[in-house]
Amino acid sequence: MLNETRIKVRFILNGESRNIECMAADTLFDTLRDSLGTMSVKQGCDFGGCGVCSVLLDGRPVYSCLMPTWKVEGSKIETLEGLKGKELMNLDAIQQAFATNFAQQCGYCTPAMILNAKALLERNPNPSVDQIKDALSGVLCRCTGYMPIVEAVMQAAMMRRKKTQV
Amino acid sequence: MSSTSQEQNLLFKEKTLVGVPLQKVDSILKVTGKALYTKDVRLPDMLHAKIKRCPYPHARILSIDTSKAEQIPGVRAIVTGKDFPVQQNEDTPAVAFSEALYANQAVVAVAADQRRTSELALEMIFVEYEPLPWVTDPEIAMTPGKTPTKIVHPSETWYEDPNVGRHIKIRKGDASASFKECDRVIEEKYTTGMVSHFQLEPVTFVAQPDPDGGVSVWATSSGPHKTQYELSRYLGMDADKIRAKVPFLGGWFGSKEECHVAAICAKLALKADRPVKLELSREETLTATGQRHPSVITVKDGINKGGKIVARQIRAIFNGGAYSSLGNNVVINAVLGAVSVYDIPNFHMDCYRVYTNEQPGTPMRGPIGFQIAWAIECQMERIANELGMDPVEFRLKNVLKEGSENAIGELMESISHDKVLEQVTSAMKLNGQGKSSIPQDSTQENKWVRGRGVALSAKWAPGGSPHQAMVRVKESGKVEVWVDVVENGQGIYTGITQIVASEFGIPSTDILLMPLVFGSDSSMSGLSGGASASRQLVNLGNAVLEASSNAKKLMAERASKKLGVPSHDLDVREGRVFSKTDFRRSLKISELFLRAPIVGYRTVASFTEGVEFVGYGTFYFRQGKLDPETGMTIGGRISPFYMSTAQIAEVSVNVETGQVRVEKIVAAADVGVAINPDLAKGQIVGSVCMAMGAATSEELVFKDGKIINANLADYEIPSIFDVPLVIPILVENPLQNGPFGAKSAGEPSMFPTAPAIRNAIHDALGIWVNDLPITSERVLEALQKLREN
Repeated sequence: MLNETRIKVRFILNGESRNIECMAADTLFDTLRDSLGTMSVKQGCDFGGCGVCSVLLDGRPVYSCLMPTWKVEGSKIETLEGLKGKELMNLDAIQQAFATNFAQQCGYCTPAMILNAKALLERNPNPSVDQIKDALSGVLCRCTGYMPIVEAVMQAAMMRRKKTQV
Repeated sequence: MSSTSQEQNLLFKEKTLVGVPLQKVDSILKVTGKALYTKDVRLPDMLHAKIKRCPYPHARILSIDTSKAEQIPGVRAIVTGKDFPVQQNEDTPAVAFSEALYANQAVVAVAADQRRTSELALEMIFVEYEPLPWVTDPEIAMTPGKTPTKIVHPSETWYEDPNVGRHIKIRKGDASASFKECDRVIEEKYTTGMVSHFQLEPVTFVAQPDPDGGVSVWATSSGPHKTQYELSRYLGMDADKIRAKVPFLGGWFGSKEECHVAAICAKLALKADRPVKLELSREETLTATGQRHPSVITVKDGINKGGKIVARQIRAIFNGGAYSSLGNNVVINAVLGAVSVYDIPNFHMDCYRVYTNEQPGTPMRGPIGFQIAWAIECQMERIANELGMDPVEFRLKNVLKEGSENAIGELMESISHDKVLEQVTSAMKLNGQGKSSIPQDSTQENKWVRGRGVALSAKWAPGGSPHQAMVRVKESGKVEVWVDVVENGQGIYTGITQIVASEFGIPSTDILLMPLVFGSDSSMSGLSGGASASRQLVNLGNAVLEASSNAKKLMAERASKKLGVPSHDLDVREGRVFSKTDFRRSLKISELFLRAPIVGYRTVASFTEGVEFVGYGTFYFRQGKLDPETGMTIGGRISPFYMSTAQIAEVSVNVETGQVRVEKIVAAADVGVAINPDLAKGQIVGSVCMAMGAATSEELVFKDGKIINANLADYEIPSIFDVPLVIPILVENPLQNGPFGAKSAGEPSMFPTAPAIRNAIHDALGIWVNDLPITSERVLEALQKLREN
């Protein structure tokens, strides 16, 4: 029958400390959506094929559907819910650029795209088009043909650089 | 025009948002992760459902034993075929009743407290099958004496051949007699494979029993009313007791019309008397829900000396899978696709939708037309090449002209076939066909050979699919828009907002689009056909314009007394009711409202005397029929208008590996008037990239009657590295009865991409590939053939 053994896990989600109990088979995806209600984490497949479940684990993008929850003990997890910025309506530059550049149609891949872009811009504030494509290549988009997304990340990089110069 | 009215026109100059690249009204919700999809719906005490599926492509169900599963704690409901009224129609049953007709068809469904419990219960359900003969090849399935199985549906219209669910024919002139007199006759066979929409959000439903014995269903559907009425048939329940809601859709493209899956979810919820969520996995979405119809299309053309096609005969076979789903009706698209571009005096066509033991074929972005455009545009290139004619010149010589009649008797109006071709050719020149050749030595530099190819198509927008709208003007001058409209990414929320804002001359922020707040809901507004067949913007756009105009009339009547001006002389714009002949006589909208205290006299609220300023509107184009013998239209057009589209593709082909790299595509499309040019361009670019996937890599592959590549590792959709540079060109040829002249943009650009790529590959290497997808293997095979000759 079902293995009901519970494991205690502590981690930081979007700046808030969380203590939860999970089962050994629970993925971070299950935990984030079912237990913690961060619904911006989406699901497109079940095993690391589409990337729309991406979250940031200590600043690096990971597929939450492949990450066992017990493994994130002591880590910092970021989802789109945690992203705040200084642009209009408390948006981050990346969010602002995605909104104004028509970088989303159905919007289902958008949370993952924005998080992957954030991870890129934190380590490389001035990326080339190829570097952007590399960084976003783990996430699929079926609507836009990707071009507006790449343009949005270029624009966000510029906005962020301007902010830091001031 | 008098000088006063000219002055007024200046003063009340149209403040319109038509043609403005307004930021999507749902963009902030989407970039902050607040946009909720059906998959995100969570209700208190919600159960999770799973489906047990048939492992055979065709089998008789001998017995189902659920007794063990029923005893598992946490299992709340189990449904089998017996729980549904027996479907006396050709539709996909919710759950197989006595026979399963395709691999992975649903046989039993379970709802339990937890997903894991449902999964466990499936393992404790025992089904005994008797495997039966099956067929997946439509050409075998429709040949008398050859087919191993006859797929019988109770109330089917049977045609002369076995397993033919629909046969449509067009007989114009005498094609076979003309062939004898032609200078040249060219016949080729073209095929396309089963392609998936691969919308990123898998098929999901949530159902909740309502207090009145009805049921509310959250659906990944293109229209809440479609779900409502279809569910009513599946459940045998009064449609008025079914409330269908569609939140944001995580991609659509024609998929998700899976009301048979919704019926399972609703039945489980009613049986358990608790909310139920049914989430199909990616594999289930690929193997057990509808995909694009595979096709086999033969085109035979007779051409005279001057390069004019005088006769064309088409035999088009579509693999429809085990049930009609919506498929038997969409076969008419084969006709519309075949008659929409070229002017051919003798035209014969036979289109078949054939039942096989595969999952039912369903519409996908430019359904059936995509396959027809592939065949015809490959054929056009072949002919031009054999005649030694320039491919653009050859097409222009045969194209339908404005005001001419197509092969089913529709007048071609507001078309731009010449214009779109001209636009793409001036943006990117063709190499000149037959110029390139395979390099003799395969050094690093010339392993990759470049070529360019062209294709021309036109998309229709059939009549039918009524849309209704309601608008309510508030004291603040803001306008509520109550419509059932489904935002699947195309930007329709924004388009409708721009149309209403333009009609009232107010900013987009003064439009309260109710579906943006609540999602689309069948109980919230009048009938809407939802998104489909390039109609939503035109039909709903016209409906909201009529609704706006009716609301304005009510305001004018109310203002007429106060201003002492006849109501027909009054108009409403920019928050004011004013006289069209004397603009100084005007009122603020708020002056038409009364105020009264509510909440213990503390708060004052506004209201109107008598009816509110609410206007209703309905729009659809009436649709004629095809004569069953000649295929000529009876009682009106099938498609009220057509949208021209042309593309030129530039590709690189690796002569050693056969790999095709699509470098650049110039895509022109006639959108009528672009309500929002950036959204229209987004539709063109998105279509091209999706069609490129179907052209070069995507196919669901069957082995032993089952799909063997139902995952993202083996079924490859374009990644960020695969997409070409796409240059969209908007051609604006206004549609007289479109909202502000708009046509549609969501589907047309799907058509020319695949043939343009194939024609470019020919330009590069001199090879002809007639089968989709154009995989490396197929390129190498064609190269091998060329070298041998």
